[in-house]
Amino acid sequence: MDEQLEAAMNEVLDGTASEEQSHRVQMALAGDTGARQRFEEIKQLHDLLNRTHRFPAPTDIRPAILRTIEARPGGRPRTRPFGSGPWISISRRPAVGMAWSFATGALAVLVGLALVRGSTTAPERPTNQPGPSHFAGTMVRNDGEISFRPLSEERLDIPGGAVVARVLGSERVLRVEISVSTVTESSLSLTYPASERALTRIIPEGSTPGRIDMAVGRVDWYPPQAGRITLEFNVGGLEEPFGLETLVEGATRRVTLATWNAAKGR
Amino acid sequence: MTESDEAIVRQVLDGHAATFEVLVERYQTVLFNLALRILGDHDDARDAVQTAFMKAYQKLDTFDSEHRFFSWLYRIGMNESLNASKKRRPMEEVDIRMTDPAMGPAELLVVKGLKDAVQSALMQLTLEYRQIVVLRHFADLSHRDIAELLGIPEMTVKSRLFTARRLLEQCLARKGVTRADG
Repeated sequence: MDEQLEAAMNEVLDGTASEEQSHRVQMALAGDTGARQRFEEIKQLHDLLNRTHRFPAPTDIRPAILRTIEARPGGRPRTRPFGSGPWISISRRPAVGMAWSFATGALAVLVGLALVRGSTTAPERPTNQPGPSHFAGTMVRNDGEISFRPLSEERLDIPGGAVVARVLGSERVLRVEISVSTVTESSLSLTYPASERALTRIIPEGSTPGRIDMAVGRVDWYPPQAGRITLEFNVGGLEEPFGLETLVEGATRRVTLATWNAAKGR
Repeated sequence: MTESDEAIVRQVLDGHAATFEVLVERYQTVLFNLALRILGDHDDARDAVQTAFMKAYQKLDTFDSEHRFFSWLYRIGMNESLNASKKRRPMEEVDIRMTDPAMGPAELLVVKGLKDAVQSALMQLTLEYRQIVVLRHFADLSHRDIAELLGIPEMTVKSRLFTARRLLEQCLARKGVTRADG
């Protein structure tokens, strides 16, 4: 089969054939059995591709995206590069240099914490409402088999209180412990690399831990005036460096909790 | 009258965040099918689309309204799918859950067989050819749109599509979806 004729047949079936191509195909179909057979074969492939197309999108995509957007305190996308503008970054290197021995490649973990103060921008905060039952009152387990080492500790003074965030690491688990003590309402957003699905546990303490909202790559916590939450990330086995981008707008403080790059040993 | 994507983007950037829902509604199916055909896995595709939309929302202020919104969104979606494909587990069969529930068992089997065969054949194409088939047949984009999206001449789109279809045909024939079976 002449390739140009076959290409013209495809164009006809795509609805993009020129007049000349259409004419050529018509002539071939009128006088050539082989061409008719080939045209039918190509048409069947087109039909098959078109027939099998389009799965509906899963019904949970849209609600999940909207929940995440609605949870954003500022209610709009950021309008400046991450980490610039009024953000106050107090990140620093991990307090203790650790030789992270991973078998594969570079690994970077960047976990950020954004703090939002004030009730004008934060979503409605039902502080008296206990979190979901599977979160309430759970204490941090005693990981006899996991040896955690301190990576960093950050204290963020805010009007009326403070936030203290400790980061601990083992070979495969990064643990972030956040304590809040404040006389004003606050909300905390912890963002992490979403595609890794690295968050494995959220462990709030106390009988009224406040509301906890989870979305892809992000946990929002509306703590009581004094509260503590622990999050664990499975960072073992990841081969590629990845970083953080925050979704939070309108925050008054941001602190980078940990930057982790196994290849560099820190 | 349907509002343009660019007008919706402006509204979102002006603080009407919920308007982003219109864009999600408009493009989630296309992006999902794109991701599904690249990744071959329902859950991975859903995650990729969700992440792509969130990244688009997050970076909306960087969108240049001189260009088409879908082209921009598509690139984010494609990058997300490619990133996911690098990390994913071995390919699983495409989920058939979305098949028309009105179909009878026999019809369902036939359709499932064909869908599986098409997906399996698609996965054997290189990414270059796979994405061109996906964009033409599963995203219903014109040759011109595909050219703009991929930044290649329209003739190259046609040429790649021609080769991709031939390769698909050969793969399907090997799988027993013969030319006569169609």
